Amino acid sequence: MAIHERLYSRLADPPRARGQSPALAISRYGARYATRGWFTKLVLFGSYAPALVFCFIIYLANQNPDQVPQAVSMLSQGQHVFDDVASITDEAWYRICGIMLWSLLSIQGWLALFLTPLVGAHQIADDLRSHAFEVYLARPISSWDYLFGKLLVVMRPVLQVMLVPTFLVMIMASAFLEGSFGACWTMFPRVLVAVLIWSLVNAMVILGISSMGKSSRYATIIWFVASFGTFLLSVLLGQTTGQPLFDLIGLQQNLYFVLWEFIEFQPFEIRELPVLDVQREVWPSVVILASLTTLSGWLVMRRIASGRLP
Amino acid sequence: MSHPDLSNPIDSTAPIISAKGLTLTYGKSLRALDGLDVSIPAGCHGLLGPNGAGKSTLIKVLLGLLAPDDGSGTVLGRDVRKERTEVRRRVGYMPERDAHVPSMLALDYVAMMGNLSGMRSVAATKRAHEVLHYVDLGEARYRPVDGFSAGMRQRLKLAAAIVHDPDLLFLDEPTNGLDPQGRRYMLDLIGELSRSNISILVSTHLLPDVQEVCSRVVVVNKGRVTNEGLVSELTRGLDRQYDVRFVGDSGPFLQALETRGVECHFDPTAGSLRIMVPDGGTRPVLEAAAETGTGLKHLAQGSRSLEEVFLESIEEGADGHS
Repeated sequence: MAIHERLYSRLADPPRARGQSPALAISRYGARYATRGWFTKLVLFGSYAPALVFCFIIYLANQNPDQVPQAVSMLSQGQHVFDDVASITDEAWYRICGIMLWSLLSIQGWLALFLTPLVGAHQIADDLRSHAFEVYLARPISSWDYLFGKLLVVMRPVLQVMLVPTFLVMIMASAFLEGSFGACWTMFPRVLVAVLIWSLVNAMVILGISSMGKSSRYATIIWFVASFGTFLLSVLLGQTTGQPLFDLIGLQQNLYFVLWEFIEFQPFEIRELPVLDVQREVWPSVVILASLTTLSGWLVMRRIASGRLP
Repeated sequence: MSHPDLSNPIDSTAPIISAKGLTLTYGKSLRALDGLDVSIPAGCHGLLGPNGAGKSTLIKVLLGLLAPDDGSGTVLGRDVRKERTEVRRRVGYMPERDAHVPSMLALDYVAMMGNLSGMRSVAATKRAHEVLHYVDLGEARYRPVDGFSAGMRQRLKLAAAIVHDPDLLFLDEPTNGLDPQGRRYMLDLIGELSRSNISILVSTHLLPDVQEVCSRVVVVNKGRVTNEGLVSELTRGLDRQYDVRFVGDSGPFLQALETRGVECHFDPTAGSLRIMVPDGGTRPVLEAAAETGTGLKHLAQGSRSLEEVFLESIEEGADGHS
């Protein structure tokens, strides 16, 4: 190794207090590496498959106007049957849209369940294991910057899985199913808010779990216990006791309840399923999700405080 | 080149680091800092001390990572308790341990550190290229950090510490785990950084490294500063102490010296003689040599190694503490 030939040069414009947002910096570089694994990419790209099926049905209906009633029936899972397009009222379109989005988001929600640990389990655990935490601590960032940065890293792919395919289907429906846009345009902001809440809860919970130790593997296991495990437990208890009230145990069910509320989905067709208490109010789910999110946030902040970020 | 941060200028006459009565106790009884007082001017300084002396704790307090129980401290004129964020914006820190984001490319890692220090992303990326070339990692900048050797990792940490062009650098064991060539290169880099108007505080156990790159040292033991000053002053021998090399029989020569009131410390295996002359200077030595027919090969004022200074400081500190 030769003695270096380049001289050190000072910056003409040194960083100032109001420069780049540290949260955005953490998010940008974190997101670049969070979705690098082949399995993560498979889940991300695979998440478009259900939406493409929906889009294909809508496109075919557009190409064959006679088959629009049949397509609408398919999209509404057989709940709405019409003889011709003209007989579909705005109210019916709205309900059809709700059922269609419910079906799609149910699938996307499960994909998000698998994607969340893939991108989130290692976020804080790896920082602890590799001492990268020390590097963040020595920079002029606050605890909130770190938390928001990491939240954005996890929320971004979850939003990608849930929001992009849903909006794709909604745009296709608005463009190709005449009369649907006028009746259903309010679904866009509703879905947006619902999915934001969904991804926020998922991201915060996985970060809370990730901050509990240095192993992303254990974090993944705990996540599946907290999400899939509670889902199975609630179904099991519901089936055994005949009391659907146990759906309160499941993280996934509570998320579905909130989504349900936002898109004003009328759950008549799944009333037979004992895994969800369709009669109950949404607020118990809101309280449970808010508590989980707060608890997870507290876990992360406690971990940061041990290293003393300002 | 002076730092052009005109909105927030640094007073060059003020100490870059000052601490008064810093006290910090871990748990109930482990006192890491015990009323530490220090004032360090701009320049390159060595922070010396045995394991557990309080060096790392002092750096963490100065970075605002630990809050002292008592006392106050400033870094670049900023209060380490109240202005932690501002202190960190102007300070670069190279930790002792490997601290990188797994699987991240070297370029992204350094650019992210610039970004986190408040640089715009484009400027941070441009600067990351520059500093990686500067530490001779230009060829490796698109490689994941995980595959780097120990020397490369040390230089990467240095690049991350200087990416935002700090006014003060804390280097914790910068030559740790390096081979002689890598150590030489790292010391060259540190030397050049100190000549670029960046103040540096090097915490290390390797005294030759300090002697080579630092102009001043601060010796810490048991949470207190036991010695500090310019390396040249600390290693200068006492006024009446001389090193002598001679040709001839040592017995009569030593006897002649002692009869003239010269205190002798002779190492027969090394053949070295260290003497403490009386107030009159070296005249008794020359007389003794002439009297015994001894040929003087070397007679010069003695000097102490930094290691001797360090060990004396530690002993004094221990005595003072007890």
